[in-house]
Amino acid sequence: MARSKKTSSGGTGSTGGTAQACVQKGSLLVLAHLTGDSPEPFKAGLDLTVAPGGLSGKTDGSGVKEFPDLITNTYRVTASLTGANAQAFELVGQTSASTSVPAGGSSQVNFDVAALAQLTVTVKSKPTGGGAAVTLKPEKVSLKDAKGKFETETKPDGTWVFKRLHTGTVQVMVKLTPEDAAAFEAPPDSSKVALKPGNTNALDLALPKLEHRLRLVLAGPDLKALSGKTWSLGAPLSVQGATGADGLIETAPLKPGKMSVALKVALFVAPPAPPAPTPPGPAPAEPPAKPLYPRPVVVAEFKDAAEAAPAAETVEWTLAVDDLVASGESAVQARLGNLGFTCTAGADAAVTSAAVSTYQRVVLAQKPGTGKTADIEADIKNRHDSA
Amino acid sequence: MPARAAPVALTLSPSKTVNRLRWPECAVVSFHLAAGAVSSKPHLPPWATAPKDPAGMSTDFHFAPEKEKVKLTYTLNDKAGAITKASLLLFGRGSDKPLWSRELTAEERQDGAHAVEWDGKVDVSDSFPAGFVTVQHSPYKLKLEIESAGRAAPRTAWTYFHVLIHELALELGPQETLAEDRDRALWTEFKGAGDLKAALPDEKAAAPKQIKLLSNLFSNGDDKTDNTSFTSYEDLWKTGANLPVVVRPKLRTSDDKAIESPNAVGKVRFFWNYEDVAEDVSVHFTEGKEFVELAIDYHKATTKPKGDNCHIDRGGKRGTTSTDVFPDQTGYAPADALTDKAFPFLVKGGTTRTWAAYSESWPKGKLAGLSGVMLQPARTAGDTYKLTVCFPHFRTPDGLDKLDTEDDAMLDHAVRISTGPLQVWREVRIVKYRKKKSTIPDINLGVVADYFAKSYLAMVDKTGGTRDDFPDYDTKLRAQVTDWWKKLALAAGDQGTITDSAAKFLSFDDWKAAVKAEKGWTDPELATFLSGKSLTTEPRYKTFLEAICDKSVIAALGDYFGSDDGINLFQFDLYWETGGALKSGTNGFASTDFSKTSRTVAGYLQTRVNYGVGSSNNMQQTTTHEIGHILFLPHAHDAAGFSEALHDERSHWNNCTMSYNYDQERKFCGLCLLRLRGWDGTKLDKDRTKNKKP
Repeated sequence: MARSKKTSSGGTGSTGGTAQACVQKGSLLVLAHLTGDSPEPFKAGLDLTVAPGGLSGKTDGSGVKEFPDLITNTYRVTASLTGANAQAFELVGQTSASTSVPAGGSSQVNFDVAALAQLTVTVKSKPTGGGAAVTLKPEKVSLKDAKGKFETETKPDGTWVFKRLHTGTVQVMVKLTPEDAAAFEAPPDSSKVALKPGNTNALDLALPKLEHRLRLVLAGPDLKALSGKTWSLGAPLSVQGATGADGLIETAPLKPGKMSVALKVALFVAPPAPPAPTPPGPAPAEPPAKPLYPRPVVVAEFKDAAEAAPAAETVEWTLAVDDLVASGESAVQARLGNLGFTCTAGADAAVTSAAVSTYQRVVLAQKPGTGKTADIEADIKNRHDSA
Repeated sequence: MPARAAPVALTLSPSKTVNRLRWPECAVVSFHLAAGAVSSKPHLPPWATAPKDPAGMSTDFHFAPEKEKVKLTYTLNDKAGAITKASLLLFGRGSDKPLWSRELTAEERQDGAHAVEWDGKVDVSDSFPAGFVTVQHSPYKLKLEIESAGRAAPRTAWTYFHVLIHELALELGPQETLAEDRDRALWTEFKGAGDLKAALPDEKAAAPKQIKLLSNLFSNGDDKTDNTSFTSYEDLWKTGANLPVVVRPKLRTSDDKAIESPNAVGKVRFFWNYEDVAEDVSVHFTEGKEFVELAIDYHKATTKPKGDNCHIDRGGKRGTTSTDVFPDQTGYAPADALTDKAFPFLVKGGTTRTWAAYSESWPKGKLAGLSGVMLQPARTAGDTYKLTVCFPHFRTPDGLDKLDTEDDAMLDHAVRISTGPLQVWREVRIVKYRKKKSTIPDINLGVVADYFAKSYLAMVDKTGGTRDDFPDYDTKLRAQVTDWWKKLALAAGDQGTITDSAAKFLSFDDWKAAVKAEKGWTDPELATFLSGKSLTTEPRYKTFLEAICDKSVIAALGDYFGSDDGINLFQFDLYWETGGALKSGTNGFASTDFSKTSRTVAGYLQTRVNYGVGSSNNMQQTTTHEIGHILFLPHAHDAAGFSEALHDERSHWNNCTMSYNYDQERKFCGLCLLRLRGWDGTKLDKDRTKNKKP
């Protein structure tokens, strides 16, 4: 914490104040403060020189150094850090100050000292399957402190140590080498680190290796995730499971490449049996006791076939893995098909237009829709691709 | 369901992209009909979540097709556009085959709620010849069914609705349906100036409307005591007159109002019933009433229907076996124009309620929505009918009903309407009324008609009030007198003007003088002549003059008949006179010697005006009597040629109109009343008590 320099005393705390008859003398009091959230005396000792007079000294464990019996005069006090202190601390603000020592009184000079921090950045691979982490050698590691000042790049030697940093929050940017960038997940654009005084600050980045997985979300009519649906992926994946609340089906990492996999989902359950029909009572009197017109409909007189309750049903998709294009008409067509619309990649224009129109009407509430794939491409990609 | 192909992408970590997969599925969520504030009840399969009942839900939803639009209100859940086809299927009862179906358009089968207007129009088919849903197949089940490449559950929803007949109206049917001229003439008369609906009496009418069967059937002279009166009438009207009666149904709108919708009736059956309305015998004098009451009390409670119309045994139609008042009709195929002289509707008699009948409506064509019967009441006058047409509350899927029962209460289970009473009358017309002089007071034909009205015989004055004279009468009369001594009897001068009588003669003395002078005879020669002609006394001269008139007046009057069938009435003040005390005592007579008389043309002479103070006889009595003769009634005891068997017993009523018993007002005896009504006289007994059965 910065402290205003106090170059003269108002009389309080003064050690002097008694008049001398012949030579007027006073004292000079130097205080060293360690800045920070809770300022405190700088205990490590601040080296001082006082001129004129060639006096020198060092603040004590209380951060104080008094130069007594100084002839009343104007003195210039210069502070410095030496030895280990020079590595761990830094004078903040003034490094020297002039003050007048009054006769029979004292004058006070204050110096602020800030503690410096050191940050060690380590980038490694994230171990998977019990393997050991490998230290990566990024092409560049940068640091930005709170004042927006980038620190100088540090050469990699296994770790990257940023020294003489001010405490507070800094951002660290790591740039991988092209080789590593192709193999590992990119590090965060920047990593924030709250620096504490000292050299114990460390940023350890563990970068997972890049992996391909098959990620599917089962959706219901409203396109929301379906949970609790048991599924199975056929060979060559041969896995099975049940969807959670997110409707997600996710495989272990796969080797990229095209393949065909059957996905079976027990999507439909049989409806619960309806309550048993009321047993038919005696046939209604005909004619009824009172004239009744019209006579209530007798359902049994209608002979059209009743619709049977649907059975539980497992549906199957034939997944063409790695066959979904990212953009263009085919991308829209394929996604329409995946979302249950009557359309497939390569479908003719009429079919595609109809499906797009349906999408626009049902999903986007557009009436009428344009039927053009370009008009829904962004939206359907988002709905289809977003988890 | 077949597998669906799904191109998917692998996700490269750390990306979290997915491939979202949705199986196409769809469902019918609900389906009902709505009209204004009312809706039909929606139905889904029992295993599906029951749809919410719409506001104003009614289990007997109905509307009037063609005239009213309802909304096919349905909701489809088809978020992926998976429905490939959606159809409306209309089912009647008893068959699994739809009566009609319609595929929804692509727009109509889109996801979401729909409200499609529908006025009941369907494709023209055998089931719906007019292209609208009809009463015929009601109630209906209208099903919405979807087809999908994906999963559809439920894929059906349905609702029920009715097409109901709200009320019926009756009217006279088209004249073209009648084959015979006599019926067409009757139709014209019956219809009058009003419209066809007004032709039939309202259900609440108390006074019967007359069905007047033209009955200008007249005696030839010697046929009064046989049964010619009955047989000739039977020959003329046979099983009765024909009057087409049509029922015009109105359908029930969704808000329970009545509206005509001819194309929405279809081919349905109406049940026609008639009631034998009890005869009002209070119109008769005591003895007449007593006779008639007993005669009509003939198997009254056991015939079908029960009642007091003339029994089949006596020439009527009431009996224990059906005698059709609604004769079977084959009808013909509905068309845009009627076939002349053919009855359009199929009519078939009841099997159990044998006096009733079913008629079938035309589903299309000129008479679309209408049905009817040919009403054929018995020809016997006084028979009174009240028609009721019913549309059953309930019909089995094959269109049959349970109205065909003898249980009258069953008719309560029908929409129905009745006519007021329809009463059969006979009509005899007075077609010409000539008076010798305009100063001769008219016969009060209204009084005459009242006498006949007691037998439900309308004596209708068709003269329009015109009273013609006898132009060139003198010439015509004198031309008929040929013998010289007879010619000498006629007074000189214009017989058309010198007398109000039919002929004026010389007095006996004047005639004798004229004869003597004519021949230049001596008194002995005159005496010889008179003796030879039996004209020696004034009474014989009177008979001589009566005979001259009987020949010459009757012959002369032959030229004064009108051209129409009916009775010609010739009125004189005295048959003949001499200017003195010697004059005819004839009151009047009906002759069959007129040259123009036939079975359908008759003539009558009224030849007295003043019957003397205090006489109960008068012109109207005489006219009624003589027309009675014309109408085959013989004299009652003890007038010339009387027949006691054809009159009520004298001990009961001795003052039949057909008697000469003037001691009180003569009125037709009960037996005459019934014979005039067209009853079979041979089946009636003068002993009134024998006419009642059991």
